[in-house]
Amino acid sequence: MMWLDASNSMAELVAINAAHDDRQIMPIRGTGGRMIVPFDLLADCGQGGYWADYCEWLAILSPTDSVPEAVGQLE
Amino acid sequence: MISARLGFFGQTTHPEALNWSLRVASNGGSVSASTLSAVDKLCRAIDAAGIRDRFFRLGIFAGSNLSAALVPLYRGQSLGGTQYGNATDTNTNFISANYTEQGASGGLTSTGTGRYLNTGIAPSALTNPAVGHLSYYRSAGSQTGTFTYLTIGSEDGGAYRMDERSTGQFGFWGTYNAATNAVANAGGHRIVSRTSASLLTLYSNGASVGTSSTTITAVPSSRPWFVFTSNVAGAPNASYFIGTLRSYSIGNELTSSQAAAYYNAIQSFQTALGRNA
Repeated sequence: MMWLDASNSMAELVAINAAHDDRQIMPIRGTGGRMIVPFDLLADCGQGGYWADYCEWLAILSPTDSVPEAVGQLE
Repeated sequence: MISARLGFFGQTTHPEALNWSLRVASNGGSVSASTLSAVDKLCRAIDAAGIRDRFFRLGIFAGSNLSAALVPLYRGQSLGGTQYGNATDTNTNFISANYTEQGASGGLTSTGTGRYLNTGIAPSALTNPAVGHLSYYRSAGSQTGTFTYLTIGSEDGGAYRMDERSTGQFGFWGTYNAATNAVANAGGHRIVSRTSASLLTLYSNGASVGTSSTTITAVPSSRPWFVFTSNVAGAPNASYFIGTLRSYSIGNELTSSQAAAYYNAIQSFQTALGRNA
């Protein structure tokens, strides 16, 4: 799974999320202290796409080698 | 189109199925005649079993697209009564390709971390949060190694949560005392139901598979339930469920006969959509 680096674009995301009651993009903490979002969101943000309102924001993000920091293990 | 559908089905379709289809349409989705028929039968089966008031929320992940799938069938104990939680499940990070309505891959699939739904309803909102139930229907998994996936949960003081782990299925209601079943990756319907302070039962496909008789004092969490993970004091747990869910529910406690009736109803629904485990 590939990821996009949202570390430097969090303020803009907060504003877009605030305009939506039924959906939000939430970055997760990645390795290297980065805040990352799934790359495949880009595939769903064209005209009429589910994440169309987020398209401009997604388009400015760069692919990253960062991966989710840890998956919790409760056992 | 909607009025034509209403005109055609108006005399025979269950009012809650019709209401759901209208809410789906207003949310940007649509419902096929075959799916509406399956939802109609689900509503009728739940009514016939006398368990309608057991549900505060029932999500069925059905309809034409992701927007449709996130419209819950039930949002309260009756259509005309108090409605609870978000009008639709609030989607975090799922994309359209994660949802297929019918067939062997049918349901909402999480392929990685960071995807979950917020129902907007918390344990503290229930009439009597000392007892109650959670459930979900999942496809069979093929995960290896050691894993813990949380399918649904609200935690803040108390635990109202269900897990799929490499060591088996876990259900919690009120505290971290669990009812468990040492089976991993199995597809089908799971329910955890607390019917008293000293009886917590885990059901798999309508049959009891584990109990806990530890006497507890439930600590109601005020955090809304998340699906595909657990809401821990306001944040998603990192142990996201990886796999496909086909329905979930939140509500009052279910007895063994009620759990069996619920399974029969939801199994028929999943079968009608060609996605039964």
